[in-house]
Amino acid sequence: MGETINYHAVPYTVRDDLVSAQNKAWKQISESGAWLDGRKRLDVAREVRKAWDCGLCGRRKEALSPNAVDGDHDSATDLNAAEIEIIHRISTDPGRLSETWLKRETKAGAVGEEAYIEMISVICMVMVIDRFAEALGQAEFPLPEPVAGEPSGYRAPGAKMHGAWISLVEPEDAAPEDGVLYVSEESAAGVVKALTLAPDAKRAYWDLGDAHYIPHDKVFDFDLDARAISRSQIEVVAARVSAVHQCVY
Amino acid sequence: MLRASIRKAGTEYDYSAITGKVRGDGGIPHAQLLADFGEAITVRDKAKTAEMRDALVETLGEAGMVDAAGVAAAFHGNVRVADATGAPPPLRGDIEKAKAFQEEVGIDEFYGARNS
Repeated sequence: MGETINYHAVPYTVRDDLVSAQNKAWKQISESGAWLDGRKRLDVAREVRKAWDCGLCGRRKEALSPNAVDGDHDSATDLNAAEIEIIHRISTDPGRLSETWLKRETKAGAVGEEAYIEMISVICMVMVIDRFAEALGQAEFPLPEPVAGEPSGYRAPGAKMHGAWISLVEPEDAAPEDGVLYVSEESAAGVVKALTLAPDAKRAYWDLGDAHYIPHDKVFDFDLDARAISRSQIEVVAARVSAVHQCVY
Repeated sequence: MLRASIRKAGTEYDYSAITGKVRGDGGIPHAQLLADFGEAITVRDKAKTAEMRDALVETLGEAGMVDAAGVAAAFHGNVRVADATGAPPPLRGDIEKAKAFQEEVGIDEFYGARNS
């Protein structure tokens, strides 16, 4: 497969493993997942990009509460209203999401819990790749063409409610058919468990995330010397980005 | 993770710099520049991002700037996974101490903390 993503147009050398991870993720976005086919996953990606110049999202960001502003989103696809609301809100205003909001958007059944989890994975993969490119002065990469295929419909059988807003798989509930969900005890942090209802979606996102940050099973290894900046410097960047997002986690 | 990495390094840092209450590097070389780079990427200020990028290449080298960009990008995903799923914050150990730390840094003023 030819590489869709490369950084030849910018004057910086990007690690090979990072470029490979981005290309792998780009391909995964175009392929059928467990609950969304390739065409729909690419529609999710298009809406992630569209959300940034959506008038309603802009007005909500300025408002004291996002619930105070009604209207229709500017959309780029024919996804249903609940799907577009979910994609735009997660993309542009994640720090003010709530369980009440999620229940309202999923109540009518237009978006199921499994599809919601897979959408988060796609949204976050697009977000990571687009923001990294922009950070280096690289223009957005064109989205790939969809790959034909049917969703598998796989839901991890051990997924249950455990204090988050969605069902997830605790390590002791993981089934062999889930594949590897947790590579170590350290890799079972709450945020890592969050997408385990859809195991492939979870792995796809964290494989990409790990290539940009550090492998999540090594987060407590403070002697790890895998990057060109120190661990404290890494965490300063992570903490500031999280704070600007108003992320309590 | 920041607190743990600083304890491990045996250095000093004013954590309220995370939320921009104070400015400075503390004991972490170029911490302010790195934080400013992360913030510029997050608010999508392309001019500021370019300015910080050049400054980081000069101070930390190209590979350091690229890795900092990678971390900033990764946390655009990580925060959304946490916020969109309601993953409970990892308040380990002494909960009262953890809450006091959130207050000191200014995390208690975040929308999600006020409404949880």
